[in-house]
Amino acid sequence: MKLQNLWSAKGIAIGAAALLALSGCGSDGGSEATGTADADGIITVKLGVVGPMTGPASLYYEYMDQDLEAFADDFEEQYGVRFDVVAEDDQASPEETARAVSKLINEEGVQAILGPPLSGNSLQVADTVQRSAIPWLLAGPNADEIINYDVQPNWAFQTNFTNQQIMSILGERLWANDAKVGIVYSADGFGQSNLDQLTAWADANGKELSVEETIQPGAADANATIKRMKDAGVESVFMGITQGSDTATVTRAIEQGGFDPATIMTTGTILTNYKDVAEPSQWEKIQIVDPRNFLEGGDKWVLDQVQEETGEAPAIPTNNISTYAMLDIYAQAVQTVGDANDKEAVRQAMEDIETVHIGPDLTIESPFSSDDHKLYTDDPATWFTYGFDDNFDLVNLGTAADCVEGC
Amino acid sequence: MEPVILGLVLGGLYALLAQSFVLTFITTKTLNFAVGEFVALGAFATIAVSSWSWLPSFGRVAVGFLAASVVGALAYRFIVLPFTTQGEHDTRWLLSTVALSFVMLNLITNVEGPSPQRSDTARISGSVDVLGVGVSKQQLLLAVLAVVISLILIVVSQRTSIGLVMRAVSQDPETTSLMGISPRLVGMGAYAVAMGLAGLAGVLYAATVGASPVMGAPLLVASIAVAVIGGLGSLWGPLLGGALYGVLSEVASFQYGAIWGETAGLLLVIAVLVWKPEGLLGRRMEVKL
Repeated sequence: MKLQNLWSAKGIAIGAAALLALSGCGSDGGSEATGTADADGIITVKLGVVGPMTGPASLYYEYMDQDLEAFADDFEEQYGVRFDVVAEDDQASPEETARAVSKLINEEGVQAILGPPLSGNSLQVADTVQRSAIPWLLAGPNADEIINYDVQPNWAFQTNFTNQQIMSILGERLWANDAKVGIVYSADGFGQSNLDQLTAWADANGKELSVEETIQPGAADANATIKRMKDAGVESVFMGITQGSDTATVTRAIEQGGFDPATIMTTGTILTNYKDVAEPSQWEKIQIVDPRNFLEGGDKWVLDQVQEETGEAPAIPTNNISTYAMLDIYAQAVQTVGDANDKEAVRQAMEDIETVHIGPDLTIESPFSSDDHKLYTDDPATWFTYGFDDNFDLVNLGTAADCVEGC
Repeated sequence: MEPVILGLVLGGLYALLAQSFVLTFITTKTLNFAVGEFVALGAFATIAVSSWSWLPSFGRVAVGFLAASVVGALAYRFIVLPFTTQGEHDTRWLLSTVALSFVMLNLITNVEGPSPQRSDTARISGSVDVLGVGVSKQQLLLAVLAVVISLILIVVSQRTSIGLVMRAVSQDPETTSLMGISPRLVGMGAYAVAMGLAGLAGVLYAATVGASPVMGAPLLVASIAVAVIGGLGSLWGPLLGGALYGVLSEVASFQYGAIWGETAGLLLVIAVLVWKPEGLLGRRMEVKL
């Protein structure tokens, strides 16, 4: 009898726990996300956010979470648009991403999707989202291949620079004075896209990529990679590496191997996870190019606000800024249309947007057209070249155009 | 010469971790697939006490070792042992240790976050010239430590009563338990030392790459490969396996690119499994039916 009571108590407890757990899942019940204006004139949008909430890549979800926490009230005040977030964990895996996106579209009925943040996973679900005819807010991924402009109308928008754009900027710099160029790229979607775009730029401009080397995430060393570059006489190195910690493995090998190329370029990914595992002597020659001005104006304001509102450093500074721009674009479009359920009208309003605001004093005018859903351009005069001081603080060295021959 | 030297040094890191697998296999006939997370546990435990200025560096390293040791012993008692009760063909511990790996990974990530954290304890910056080749001092320390620890384990195993007990439990746990020796305690002891070694490797490796929840995972395949090449039943095995795996993978990387390095090492594993399944220094177990 006692045992029965115990089991029965256990059953009630498990049942209660299950109910509690279920009530915490999804947000359908009681959601006010009608997509149209309420009595106060606020339009609540059901926004699906997909990214790696758990696991080692969770920084790639955190930056979206930080922006929503820091700026949701601002967008509501400015545009009368409130975000009712339905978050799904993709665990940074293609399979989970497909499941998460499918759930957001088919079960949750979201009115737009923010994410996934990783290029490879976005590629995995690109056809699905396009077929579902839902505004797709790509604030993180850099791969150009995600958007197929042959398919119109196109539902995806990118507010990060693309790999094609950065390679256009970097190509001029890396091959300046006919230098021998080598690339180290991470063995993932981001790295592969970097390689593809750099190779494409080289082919289109009659240049040759002398050495192509991969680095596995978490590799213990990169000595062989650097030795091969050194032996090949490489003078310009490009590191297209997803994780800053892997970039540190490469720069350690450069120092240890006594390799001294004239130019070492990489991307803004070095701003994440690099400083704490590297030494000043290893980053003193590294430079990055980026269309954002991290040191002043609206871009800096976004980063400062994230720090102030969340109490945390921006998880991935480049993507924090991109996410702000994307939410601004989408919120404006919803305000213009007045109904988030009219997705085609919202998509068109995004495409036709006249002014994108990044912070209070940075604007980008009419960035999109039907065959260009990229926020930035590849004009080197609008990109910045940065180096690093001893504390790994960014130093603005001039525009990419100014630094073609080196800075 | 360069790939040989760098391969030997890199092999030292793998050998140290491989020794964890060998130690638990010799004593309990089980392997802990959560070794990668014990690497991270040791590293984070040391970082947690890094602000204790009264504790010397050696003490902080010892904290990393001990934290992994204690959790390792408990893991054997509650995660491994209950799944080995149905005889030598009971392999449920395979799943329970993999599950432990996931649980520990998520716990460490939730507590410490996913980003690498700098660890200055036992950090030795710079490189040293070894036969004309620049070698990271930190990696050299790991390699030397792997050799020293392997030799200590071999001496303890062959020349002390503790070693005798371990071997006896390994060969016939039932008979040894009739003689008043607890196989459970011996197993816990073996796991404590083995996971402590993983934690120690984590402390020293983190000084180079930083401590992160996933820092041990990339080392796992290589260290299992090293243990298999050398022989899971031999404490000398990790040294030989580490040297062969490290040199072969570095030579292949130097010659054909990094992508071929790991591939070459794993091809060696396959070759050894075909030619000598018990490993190069392992002894074939023959059972009389």
